[in-house]
Amino acid sequence: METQAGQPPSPDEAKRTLHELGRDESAVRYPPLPQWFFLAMAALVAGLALAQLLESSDSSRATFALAVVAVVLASRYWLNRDGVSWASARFTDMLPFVLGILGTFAASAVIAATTGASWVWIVAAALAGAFVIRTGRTYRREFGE
Amino acid sequence: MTARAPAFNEVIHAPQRLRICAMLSGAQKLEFGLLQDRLGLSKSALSKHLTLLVEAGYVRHERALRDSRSRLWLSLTPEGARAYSAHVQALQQIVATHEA
Repeated sequence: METQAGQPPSPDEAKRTLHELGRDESAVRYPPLPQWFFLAMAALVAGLALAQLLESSDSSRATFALAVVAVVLASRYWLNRDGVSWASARFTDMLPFVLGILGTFAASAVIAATTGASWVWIVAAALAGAFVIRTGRTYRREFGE
Repeated sequence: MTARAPAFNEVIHAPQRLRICAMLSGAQKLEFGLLQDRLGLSKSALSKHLTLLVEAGYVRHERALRDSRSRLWLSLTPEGARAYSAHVQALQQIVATHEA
């Protein structure tokens, strides 16, 4: 960033500045995360899908427990890590991931409820887990590990 | 971050202060040491920039205990977030005008 105080930057300087600001923001919002983090998240998300195969009360308890573990992991290693309190991911960055996971769960719930094919949750577990791992690969390529 | 018309801001226009605002915009609070590491500034240089931002009402600071040590945490105020957003929009406008 070569811009001097008091004078507007040239278009090239402005572009470089925006690029650097984007990197600084991303360094806070999206820290490097190890592979095991995404493997654990994939297992938890798959577990959430498989929990739907349990009896109603057991399913609720398992869903709650898995969700709590996922939130604690995300909080400890991403949102509230050393020197950072509540990193804020951009909604637009998260949207494809959230839509992918919610879409998988919603479609499975509809299929299971309308056809009684509860095995669809096994497919959902595999799909959602694979989706998390794929997202993790992209994330680590972009933001490091 | 609330939208505001593109506007250059003399206080945050300085490169390091702009970078401080960029980092603070990515979280609710950041610790002094993290900013210092990322920006590669000395304690006194970073403190000087932060003092200007605090005096302008763009940054607030608070001390909190962590691992039995007192640490300085910093955050953007709503006014600071608006000023940073407007400044970034002004930069985007310069780039867009040039590319149009």
